[in-house]
Amino acid sequence: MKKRSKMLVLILVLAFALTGVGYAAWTDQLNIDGTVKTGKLDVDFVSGQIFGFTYCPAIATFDEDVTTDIKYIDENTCEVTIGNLYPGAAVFFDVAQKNKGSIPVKFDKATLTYTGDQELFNYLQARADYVADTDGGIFNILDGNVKAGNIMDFGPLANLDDAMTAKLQNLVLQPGGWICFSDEEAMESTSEQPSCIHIKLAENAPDTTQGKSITFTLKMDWKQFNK
Amino acid sequence: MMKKRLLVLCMIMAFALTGAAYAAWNDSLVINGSVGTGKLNTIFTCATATDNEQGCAKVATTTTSISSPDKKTLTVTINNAYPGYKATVKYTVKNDGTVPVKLNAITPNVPAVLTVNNTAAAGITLAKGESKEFTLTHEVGDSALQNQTYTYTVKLNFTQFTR
Repeated sequence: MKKRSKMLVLILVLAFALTGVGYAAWTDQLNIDGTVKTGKLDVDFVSGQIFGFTYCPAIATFDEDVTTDIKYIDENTCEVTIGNLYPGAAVFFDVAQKNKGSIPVKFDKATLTYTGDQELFNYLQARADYVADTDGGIFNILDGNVKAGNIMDFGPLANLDDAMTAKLQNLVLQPGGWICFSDEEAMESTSEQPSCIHIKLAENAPDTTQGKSITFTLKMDWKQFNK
Repeated sequence: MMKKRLLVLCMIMAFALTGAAYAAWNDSLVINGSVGTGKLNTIFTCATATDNEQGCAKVATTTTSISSPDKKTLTVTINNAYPGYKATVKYTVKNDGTVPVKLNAITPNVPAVLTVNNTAAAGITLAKGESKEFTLTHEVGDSALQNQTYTYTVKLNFTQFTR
């Protein structure tokens, strides 16, 4: 018993002695403190307008008989409703989107969803142009930040989203940059007729397309510029 | 009586011998020791940042600063980051003490949404006065949320080189 106690004491003494050696080593510490704040990706519709027009040989004239409505489902989706359209009548509508976030965005895709009568849809034609001020600064078509072009000439409305996706896929908007579906001439107010997204009912639309309204949504998706 | 005389004689002899011992000449040598300890001190001396943004798409920023006056803390601040953003920070550590040091351990505490790699590795030694440059790379992962603040820390523990 006495021997065991002595052994225990010896072990304890050795343990404390070794602990003392460990603590005795000099140490120093350097710290790296990092903070990463992320930005925001936010593209919103900022304006939109829609009018009914009648195509005359040279100049489009405002047509009050064509009923129109545009509303925003969410920040990237607008819903367009057109009523009382007839062969030869058209609708011009324009929406503008702005990069309200803090990082550049790249156009991803457009999705057009039609919910009206399918027969009528087949006789709807569209053409579209676009203008984008990619940096959102003072609008100047000569500063290299303005991009403009034709998205599609008159063709089936059903093709509008694919045409948008194809034409705008590399378009990058800096924070503050914007896009609308007009053209450069319209932006400079030298055009004789408004240039927006034109939607018209084909001249050969049959009588069975009468009395029907058109409703479709246009969704424009953007992604961060480096993806 | 005879015994008594012998005892007295012995005592006289004993005292006489004792006196002789005290009377012996002596000398001494003295060693005076002085131990001055060194100092273990590592500091950041400089840090620079670059990133992977190019052209007109420069929206995020990475800045660095070194605490003053102790120079023990390097602060990296990245603003307006997004998934895929990469920043590289080159920093220099100097052994500003008087004894060699060894990087004993690196303790990172980094959220999963960030990837932070450091070229500094345990076992690296710095001689007295020596400086070494290391690189800290950051990448923001795809799971990063918008408008968030993520923080991380990396601790570099140095010990004296003999440990």
